[in-house]
Amino acid sequence: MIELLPQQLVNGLALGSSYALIALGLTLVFGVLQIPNFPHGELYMLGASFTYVLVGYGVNFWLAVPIASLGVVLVGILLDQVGYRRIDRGGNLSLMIAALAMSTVLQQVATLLWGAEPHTTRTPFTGILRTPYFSIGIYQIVIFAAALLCWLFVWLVLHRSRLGLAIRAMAQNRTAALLMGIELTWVRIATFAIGALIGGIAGSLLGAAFPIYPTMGLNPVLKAFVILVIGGVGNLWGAIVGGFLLGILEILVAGYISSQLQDIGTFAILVVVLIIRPNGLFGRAEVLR
Amino acid sequence: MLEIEELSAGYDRLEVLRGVNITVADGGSVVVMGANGAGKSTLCRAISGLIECRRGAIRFDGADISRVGTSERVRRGIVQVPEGRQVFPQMTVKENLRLGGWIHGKAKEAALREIYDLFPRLEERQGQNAGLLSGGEQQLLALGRAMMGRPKLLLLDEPTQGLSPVAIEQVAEALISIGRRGVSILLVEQNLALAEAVGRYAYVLETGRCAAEGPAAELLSSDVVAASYLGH
Amino acid sequence: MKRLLATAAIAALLAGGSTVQAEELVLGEIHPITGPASFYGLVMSQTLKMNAEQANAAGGIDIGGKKYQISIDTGDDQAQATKGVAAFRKLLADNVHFVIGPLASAVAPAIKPVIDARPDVLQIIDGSIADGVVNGKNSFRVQADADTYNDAAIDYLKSKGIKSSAILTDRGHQGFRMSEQRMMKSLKNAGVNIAAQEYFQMGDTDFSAQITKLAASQSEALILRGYPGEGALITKQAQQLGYKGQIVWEMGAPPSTVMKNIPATQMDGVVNCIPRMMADYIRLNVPNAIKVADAFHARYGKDAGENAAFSNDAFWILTTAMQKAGGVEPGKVAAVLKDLKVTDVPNLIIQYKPQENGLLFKNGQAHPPSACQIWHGENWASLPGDHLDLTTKN
Ligand SMILES: Nc1ncnc2c1ncn2[C@@H]1O[C@H](COP(=O)(O)OP(=O)(O)O)[C@@H](O)[C@H]1O
Ligand SMILES: [Mg+2]
Repeated sequence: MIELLPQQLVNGLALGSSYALIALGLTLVFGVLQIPNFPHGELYMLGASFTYVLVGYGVNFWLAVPIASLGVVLVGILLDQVGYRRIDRGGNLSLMIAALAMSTVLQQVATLLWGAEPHTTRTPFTGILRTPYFSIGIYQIVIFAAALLCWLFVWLVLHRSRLGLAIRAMAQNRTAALLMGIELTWVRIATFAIGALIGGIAGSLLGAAFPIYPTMGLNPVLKAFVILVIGGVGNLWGAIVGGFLLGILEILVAGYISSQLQDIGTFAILVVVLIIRPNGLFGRAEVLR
Repeated sequence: MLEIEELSAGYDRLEVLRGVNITVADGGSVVVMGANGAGKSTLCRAISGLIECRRGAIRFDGADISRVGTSERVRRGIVQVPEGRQVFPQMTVKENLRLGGWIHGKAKEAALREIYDLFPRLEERQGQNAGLLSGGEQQLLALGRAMMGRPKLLLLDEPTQGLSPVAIEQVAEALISIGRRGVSILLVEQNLALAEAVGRYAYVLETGRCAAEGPAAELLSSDVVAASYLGH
Repeated sequence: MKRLLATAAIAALLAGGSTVQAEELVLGEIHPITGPASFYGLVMSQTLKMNAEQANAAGGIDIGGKKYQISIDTGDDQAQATKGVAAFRKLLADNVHFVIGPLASAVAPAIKPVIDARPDVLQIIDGSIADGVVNGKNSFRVQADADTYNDAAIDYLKSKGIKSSAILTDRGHQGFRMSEQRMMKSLKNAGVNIAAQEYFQMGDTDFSAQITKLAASQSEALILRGYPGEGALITKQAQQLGYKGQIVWEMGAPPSTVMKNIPATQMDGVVNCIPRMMADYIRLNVPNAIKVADAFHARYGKDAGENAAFSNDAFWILTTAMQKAGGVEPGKVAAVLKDLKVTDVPNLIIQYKPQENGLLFKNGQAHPPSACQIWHGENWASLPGDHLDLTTKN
């Protein structure tokens, strides 16, 4: 069995890339605005669906990805303005309820528009890289690269731009940020836009690897919340590393213990992390450093 | 410069300020004193627009700003150093200062230079995370950050709270030098010595109302203040 | 004035009464009309409604000298056990005595206890392949049982001389899980070594850990038991991970569904062993199948799904039994069902294998024939030498 380890680790990295990509946008919105944005899973689903529709109309896949993702950005901003902005002072419970409600609404709308039957965008690369130790689809390498690139993009925005300075300020101390003259509205819009963009890209790309259907975002978003706990809320690098860790862990559990325990493994690690490091492996205090 | 007329403000169903009248003259420096819970911080929040003005009016430079957002008030020159310093703990000293100048666009080196000249300590620490500074240093940073906003009126909410005597000294010096530059000051302070050193006119706030006012030197040595502080 | 009103009311009542010449017969159905499995269930419901419309347009169904107008009372189970039980109780509350369905293997076992306790209700299952849901007294099934699926696959392995196989099963699928032990035994008897056995779950998207292990077992074949969405994904990922053996599916897999989840070229050579379904009968030119498919297309503007055949047959089996019983008393209809011959029922699409004495049901279970097909181009194709015996009236 040990001779399968390189292949299983590569499998884990590939799976982890998809988790990391989804967790990235979620951790940003949660870290900056303290909103448990469950509909991030639906933004992911919309990214996938928009891309599928565009490709169906003959648009080139690589052109469809940015168009679809921008569409998702609009939905993301709308989500905040319609769903969250007004109840911002209503407390965590109302935010949670609003989040779940919007998830459901988006799922229903998707069902009405495109039906419930799973479908997959045609993969632009079907090539496979084979080495003596492992093989991996070229497209999985693309997704791996996309996760790192998205992380780099968000990092650059946050640390090398004026807007990023404002977003981080708002994340660390909202009152002080307001007293600097930063407008919450714009930070909200920007944060949701970036979060939705990453979610849209994730869906757009992963929709060519995994089936697309209205509730496809449920499971990934749950995993992403687990990653937030592992990596620390609002910690971008924690989302990436946490995503890879979770992916590898799940594969190792399925590969070496039992495929019946794959999900139990996920929640076991969650509980262990919560007991040993309640603030995540990388710490919650380091919100959007 | 700042005229507050019959201002009422509070939180949800709690009305904290009930008809407050305060005036700060151009280049003037005013001290507001009062027991814990009197509503001093609430007053600062209302002036900055963090909470709404329910009744009455706030005028600044002759214009009514009661309905104007926080950001716009900052742009017009009302900058606050909030209670408890409220620096951005996970950002460097320099980033904190840049945020102070946020409304003026990309921070210019000259503006930073000015602050570093005022507080040399901050320059030494410019690469360090603000959360790692001592309380006194954080307070200087909060002051420096506010100055980056080029205020016309500086609101200070208990800047000496929890500081050592040496640090209080530094803050006092800084405030006096800021006052000399023509910046109007509204200082909320429980430390009598600092209040007397900085303020020229004083108000005493008691459960949301102005209980007394007068030239700082007179008022602060009178019985009224002793009563509201010591609870006689 | 009052009298005038009263007279008018009585007249209206009489007029209303006089139009109710034909009796009304309500048939209940339980299918997933909404939710993720709705693309299976909706066409089943639509097939039933279409059959009822056609029968009504022809003046209704003649039972014991009375003409019955059929109406369909739909219960939506969303393929979930709790929703299914609730939908079923709603039908009972509506005073429904005949139920067609459910489709989902999760729902059938959940409503079984309720059925068992209600001898005045008669059920014909047109979907679930779960074990032990048919009692032969007041519940019958036209869909195959899980063993029919498994045996079809095992027969295929035998015919190809395959000596080792890996198995990957949807662990949430009641029918496949319950029949697992029996399948292992049959494989052993057929001389096939079980090289590895792994599980997944509906909605999973990554199967790489399992496939890596299965591929390492170097089995000659890989049997996939589950639903086509996952089936397509597993097939895709198995190729990525370099699995070289014969992939054998056991699942109802309309080509349209398959191709939504995997490029057609990557499906080439995959074999699917299942009870024959709608598309199969159309391809093999069974007249009843073509008739229903055309009518469905004309009525709804889309193709009837694979499961339409089961619902169609359940409808005709039930109404034929009523005609033979000469009434709509569930106990009597059930008694007729037990003695019903395959050749008694008109309009059947599935060419059931007659049981002893040509009967349709044995202990409540009908026997739809199964067959293996191979993917070619953009569709399933018959394996060489495949042929079908027509066993019903056509
Ligand atoms: N955010 C808040 N929400 C509700 N009540 C508050 C809030 N902040 C202060 N208060 C209440 O308002 C009153 C005045 O508080 P504050 O303005 O902080 O007083 P001071 O600064 O003079 O000590 C107190 O009774 C306090 O409990
Ligand atoms: Mg205070």
